[in-house]
Amino acid sequence: MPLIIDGVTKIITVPKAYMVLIQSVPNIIYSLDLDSFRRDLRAWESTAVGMLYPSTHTHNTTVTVGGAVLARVIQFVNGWSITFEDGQYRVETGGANSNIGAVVNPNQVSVSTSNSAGLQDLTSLQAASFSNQVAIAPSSIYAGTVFPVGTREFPVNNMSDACKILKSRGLKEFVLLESMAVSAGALSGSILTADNKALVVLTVLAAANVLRSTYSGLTIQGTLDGGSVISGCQVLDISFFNGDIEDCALFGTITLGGGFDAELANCVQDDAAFIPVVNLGGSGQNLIMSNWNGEIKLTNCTNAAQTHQITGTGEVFIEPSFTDGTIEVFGDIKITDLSTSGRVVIVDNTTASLTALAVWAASIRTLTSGGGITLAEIEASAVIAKEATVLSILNAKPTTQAKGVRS
Amino acid sequence: MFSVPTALQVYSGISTSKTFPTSTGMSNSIPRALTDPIFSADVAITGGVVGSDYILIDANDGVTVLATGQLTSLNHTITAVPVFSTPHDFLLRIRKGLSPIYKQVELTVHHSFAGVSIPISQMIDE
Repeated sequence: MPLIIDGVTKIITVPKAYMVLIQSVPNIIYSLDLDSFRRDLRAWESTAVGMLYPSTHTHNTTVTVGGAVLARVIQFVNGWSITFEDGQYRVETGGANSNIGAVVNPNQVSVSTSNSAGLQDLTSLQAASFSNQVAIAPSSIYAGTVFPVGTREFPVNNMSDACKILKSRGLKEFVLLESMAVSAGALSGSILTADNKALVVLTVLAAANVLRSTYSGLTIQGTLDGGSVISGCQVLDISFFNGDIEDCALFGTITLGGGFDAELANCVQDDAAFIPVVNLGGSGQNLIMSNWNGEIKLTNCTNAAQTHQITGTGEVFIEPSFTDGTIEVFGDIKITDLSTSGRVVIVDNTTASLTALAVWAASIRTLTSGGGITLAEIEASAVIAKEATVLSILNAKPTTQAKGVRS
Repeated sequence: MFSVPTALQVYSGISTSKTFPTSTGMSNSIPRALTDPIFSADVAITGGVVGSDYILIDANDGVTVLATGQLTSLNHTITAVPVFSTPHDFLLRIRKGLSPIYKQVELTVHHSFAGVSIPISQMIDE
């Protein structure tokens, strides 16, 4: 609710709704940020009506003295006075030294000021209150952008105001105290985090601009915009993903998009009863999974030029919709090829495969020792043996566990 | 009424729109209505912050608004600012209340037939 300013009587009326309720029990206390207050007065002074009347106040900004920032000073002049909406409550003013106590029209409201000769700049103290984060909780009763709204103690209840606070305070990080859906807002480049991924589910709707945003410590689902970094999260169904997923538990379908590579590092299968899926988005983006642990399904790769690399421990299922492309596996990965058409290239560099080849080569070397066979001949034999193994394994489909090409 | 005006009346007491020159160099005229300005001339404001709001108020009564508007350039000209009473003074008030906020400038200016140029300097108030 806006201020009510009467230029004839020179009375500025401050409604309760203009201030921030900071305590309801046992006593009602409202907070009035004097810097915001004087900015609103200045805005009114510049209106067609306000221009007719003398200035409401003088203002001296903050001053840095020996490294300490001294607070701004606001002095109401020219006969202006202030009336707070009547009621039994207290108003705590802050953000500046002022003479507001001397110009308040008395009623039931108690007004306390925080004037101090050594008062430090409350902007700095306010910045510390935010801890570099804007707190959001949809069930909160606090809206608007006036301090302390947006701090953890007084979380803002909507994303629009949160974005304004973030921008005005020069911050980058939102902390979600509850589950919520983000439907709109310029969140590009921001950081969204939570304290407990078991309690906070972030749903990113398609309309939200979350390009190059970072998520941590929460459960995430929805439609991203590319360049995302998801760290320490539980990942449900997400689409249009490219970027990095690090140290996450997967419990859904990750659909790649945007034409840039996706990297999954140190991720695990979240639930033994559900095998997560990576939808490779047809063509345009490669998948790099390092240190994967668990089972995973790969679907929807239709471009022979795409190469996907997987290292770690577990099993990779190549689903029927994976028709073209190359998969290179390392470590202790088992591949189950369920593809039924197209041309899938599987490059098997797993420990088991490499060990088998080494044993084969060693066996040949043993059998032919003293027979005058050169090392080159032994290696050539190993290659022939490997290809023979490949052929035998291919013939024994559906299990494909060796380097080869199947068409 | 056809009286012989004095020199003062020609310029300040008689409406220019109701003046009838004669061959002798004198004017036959009717008295100036109270709503008619004594004269009008341009006021140039130089050095102001673009986007600032201004108001010109008759300094004699402190009420009559002579002009209002917003500075659109560093050298802003307000055309045909009227003068209704003597002395020909007006109050110039310039404010910029939206971010970045500037401190108010308030001056009393003496208007002239040839117009007046007012150099100002605004200070930021953040």
